[in-house]
Amino acid sequence: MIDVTTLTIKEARKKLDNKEITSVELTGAFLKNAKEKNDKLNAFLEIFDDVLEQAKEADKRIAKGESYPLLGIPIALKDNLLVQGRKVSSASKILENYTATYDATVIKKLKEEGAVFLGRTNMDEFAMGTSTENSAFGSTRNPIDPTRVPGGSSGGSAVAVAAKMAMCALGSDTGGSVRQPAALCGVVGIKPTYGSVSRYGLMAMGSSLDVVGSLAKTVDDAEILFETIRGWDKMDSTTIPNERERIEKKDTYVIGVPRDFLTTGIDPDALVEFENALTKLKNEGHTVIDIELPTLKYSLATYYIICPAEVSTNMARFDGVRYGFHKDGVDRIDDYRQSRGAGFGKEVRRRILLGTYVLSSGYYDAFYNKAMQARDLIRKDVFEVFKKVDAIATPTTTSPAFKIGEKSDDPLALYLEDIFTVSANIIGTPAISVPFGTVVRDGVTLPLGFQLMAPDLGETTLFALGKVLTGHAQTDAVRGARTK
Amino acid sequence: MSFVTFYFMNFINFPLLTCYFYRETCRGIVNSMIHRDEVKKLAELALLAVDDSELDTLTKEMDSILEYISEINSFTADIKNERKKPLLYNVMREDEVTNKESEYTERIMKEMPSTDGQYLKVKKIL
Repeated sequence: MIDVTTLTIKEARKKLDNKEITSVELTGAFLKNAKEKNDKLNAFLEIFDDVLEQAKEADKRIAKGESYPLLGIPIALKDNLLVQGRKVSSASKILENYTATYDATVIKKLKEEGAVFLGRTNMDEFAMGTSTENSAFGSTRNPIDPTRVPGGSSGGSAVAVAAKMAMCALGSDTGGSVRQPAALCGVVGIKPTYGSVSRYGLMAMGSSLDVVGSLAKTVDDAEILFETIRGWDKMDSTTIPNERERIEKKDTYVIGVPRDFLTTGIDPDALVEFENALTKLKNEGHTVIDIELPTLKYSLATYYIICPAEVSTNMARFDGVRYGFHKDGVDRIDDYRQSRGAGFGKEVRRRILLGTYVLSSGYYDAFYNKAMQARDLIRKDVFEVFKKVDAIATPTTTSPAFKIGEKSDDPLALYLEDIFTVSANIIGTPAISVPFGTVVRDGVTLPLGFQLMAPDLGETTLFALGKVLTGHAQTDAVRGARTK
Repeated sequence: MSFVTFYFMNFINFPLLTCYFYRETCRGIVNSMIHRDEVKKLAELALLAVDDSELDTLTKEMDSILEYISEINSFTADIKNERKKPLLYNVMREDEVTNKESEYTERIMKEMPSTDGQYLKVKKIL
C-alpha cells in the first residue's frame, strides 16, 4: 500500500478519478497525521470534526463522474479566512469565540470544487509576525527541528504541509507571510499579484498589501491551488479584471540579481546555496545577469510605515461592542479601551500605536506621506528593471529557521526577517519561494528558500522557473529523507 | 544598536544626515524619537488600555522601530511634499439588495456580546 500523503495533487487526482483510492482514505491519512502530530507542533488551532463527512461528500461527487482539480483533496486553512458557521479567530483572544457569518470568496471557490477542509491553522495574531510566536494560542513548531520557529505569519499552514498533516494549505501574505514560513519549513509558497485573488472574507491587516497565497509540497500543487482561487470578484473592488492579459510562458528567461542588495546580513552558507541555484538556472539555459536596484533597501522602512498605518485603521473595527471579546470598563469609551487593551496581543498593540503615530497630524508628512512616495519610486525602479529581466532573484530569508524565543524580545529583529519579501507587497507584484539547498545547524539540516519576483500577473514565469529549480520532485523536508 | 552607531553605519549613504544627527546627538537634543508620555497619549488616541508597567518597554521598542523607519526621510528627502494622486480608481456597481431580508440577522446577532431582543445593547451614549 502506498503512502498517500506523499502524492502530489495531480497524482492524487488521477487515483481518485480512477477509483484507486477514495477521498475518505486520502483525507483519513492526512487527518491521522494531523491528530498525531498536532500536540507537538501546534500547527492547527482546530481540526474540524466533520472532515471525513466532507470527504464522503466528495467521494459521492467523484462517483457521479465529477472531476475538479481539488475535488476530495484535503486542505488546511489559515485562521484568518472565513468559513460560514465555523470558528475563525486570527489567532487572537479578541475573536476567540467568533463564528464566521459568511464564506470568503476563496472558500466559496474551494467548496464549489469540493475540496475537503481539514482545519484552521495557527498564525501570528492577525498575521502580524514572522515566527508564529505572536499567536494568542501558543507558538507553532518547525517540524524539521521543533526547537525552531516555522516562520510566519502563515506558520501553521507551512507546518501542516511540511509535516504531511495536509495536502496543501492557504495562507495570506502581507509582507512575506506565505513565502518566509514556506522557506523555513522547506515547502513552496506563492504570493500572487495583488488583486489576482479576492480578499473578500480574508481578515484585513494591511489592505493595500494583503493577498491570499498557497503553500504546497511542489510548485505544481501550489499552481493548481492558485488557479482555483484566483479571479475577479465583485465583492472585492481591488481584484483585477479577468480579461487583463497574464504574462505568457517562455522557453528561456532572463533573471536579474540585485547584487548591491545582497551584500550584508546574509548567512554565508545560505549565500553559497543561492549561488548554486543561480548556476542551476544558467545550466538549464536561462540567463542570469546582475542588476542595480539601489532603492530596494528602502522597502522595509517603507513597509513598516504603510503596514502599521493600515493596521491601526483596520483594527479599529474591534471595539468589543458588535462582536468579539468584551471587557467592561467604567463607561462606554472605557469599554473600548479595556476590550481592545486586553483582547489584542503585544505585537498588534505595538503596530496600532506605530500606525497611530505615523498617521498623526504632526508626523504624517515625515512618515506616511514619505512612505507613499517611496512606494511609487521603488515600483518605478523595479519596473524599469523588468524591461530587461523576466524575474528578480533573491534569497527568501537571510538565514534558516531561528530558535523559538531567540528574537521574541526584539521586535525590530523580527521585522528585519522580512527584508527580502516586503518589496513584492510594496509593489504588488507576484513572488514565489521554492526550497533550494540546505544548511546544517546544531546537527540538523535546515531548508532554505529561493525567491523569485515577476512583474504583475507573471505567476506563470514564477511557476516555470520554480519547476526548473525543484525538478518536479517533492521537497526534501517533506520527504523527510535528508536528516543529516 | 545605538542611535550614533546606526547613523555612522550609514555615513557613506547619507553623509549630511549623519553629520546632522551626530551633532544633534552630541548636543543632547536628539536622544530618542519618542517619549513615554507620547506613547501614553497614542494609546489614548487609539482607545487602547496600556498598563503603566508596560509603557517603558513599549517606548523603548517603538523608539528603535521609529529610528529604523526614519531612514525613509533620507531616501525621499529631495521630493516635494505633494499629495500623491491615488493609485486606485473607483469601481462602481448597481446599488441593489443582494441578500434576502433577515438572511444574516440571526448569525450576526449571535456574535453580539450583549443584546436585548432584536437590539444590540450598548452603554449610555449621551
